[in-house]
Amino acid sequence: MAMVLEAALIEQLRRQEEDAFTLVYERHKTQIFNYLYRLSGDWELAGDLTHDTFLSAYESLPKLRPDSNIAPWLYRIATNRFRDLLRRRRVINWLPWTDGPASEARLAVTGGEETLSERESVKAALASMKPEYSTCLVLRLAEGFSSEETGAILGISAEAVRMRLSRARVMFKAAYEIAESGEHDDGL
Amino acid sequence: MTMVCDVVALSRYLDGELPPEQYRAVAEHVVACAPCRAELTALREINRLMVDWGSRNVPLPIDAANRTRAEIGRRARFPRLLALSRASSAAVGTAAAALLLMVTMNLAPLYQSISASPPPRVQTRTPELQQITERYQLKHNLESMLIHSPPPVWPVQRRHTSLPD
Repeated sequence: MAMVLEAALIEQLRRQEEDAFTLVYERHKTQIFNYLYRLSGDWELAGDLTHDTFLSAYESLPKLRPDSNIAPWLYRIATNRFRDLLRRRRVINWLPWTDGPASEARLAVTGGEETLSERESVKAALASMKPEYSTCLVLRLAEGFSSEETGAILGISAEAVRMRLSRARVMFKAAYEIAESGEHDDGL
Repeated sequence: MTMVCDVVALSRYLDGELPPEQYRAVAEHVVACAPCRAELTALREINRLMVDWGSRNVPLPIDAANRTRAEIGRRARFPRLLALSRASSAAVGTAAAALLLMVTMNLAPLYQSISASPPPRVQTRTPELQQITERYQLKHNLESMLIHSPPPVWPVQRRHTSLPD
């Protein structure tokens, strides 16, 4: 039944029907926004990237395949928008990634001292990694996708995801240790 | 270091993505190998951190959501107009790029000719020429002094008018 409804929804989406797309937006906007926050570590940026993601999705509706799954399709577009952003930042040598006071306040509300420090280190570690590794780590472990699903989102095989995840863990471990030691040094 | 002492195998072991035989081999190895046990503990900690990182969902700010809804509505209502405006802006961009290219191509030979031309030659004066020049300069200076010198100032006689008493 769910499959039939999904197929019908995709048919409507392929015709660029506004109601169908609005339904998709309302269903997935929080999920995509939080995914982009987990990658970027910046609420405001995640909001802008979410906006870009859904507008890109709307523009590419006629090209949507009938057998597509909506959530992985949106994740793929969101990942591409995030990569594009990093590429642009590298080209024009923008400001380093920092969090605004709004995000600091929000984290302070949601977590205790220990968790706050831990999350700041996670954020710093992910921000220092190459996007092909950070996206793999976040999709597989934070978003809970399988290797096959992660591969479909990233456009690589499940076997490549397993290899990449293994390397991503090593990179994350080193980056997290650096971030943690930096925080402790600041505290002295 | 054996074949099983390998972080890729440990990573797959942790994710349950090893065939049963390899899974058992890694499990036995980890019991006997302290560095691999420590590595496995570190990998488990990374999993915990990432699961925690993914555990909280915050709603998208209302103003951001409204902005996207409005834009989707606009695109749904005026698809042809938007497509036209995008096409026209692309056409303007292409025309500007072509113009820039044409100007650059036209200026290129001129620039090359300027940069290729030899530097101006510096004339050195011979002693005879130097003497003539100096003489001419002296004469010219004297003449200009005579011509441009201000006229002599003569004593001015003031005419006294007697005022009526």
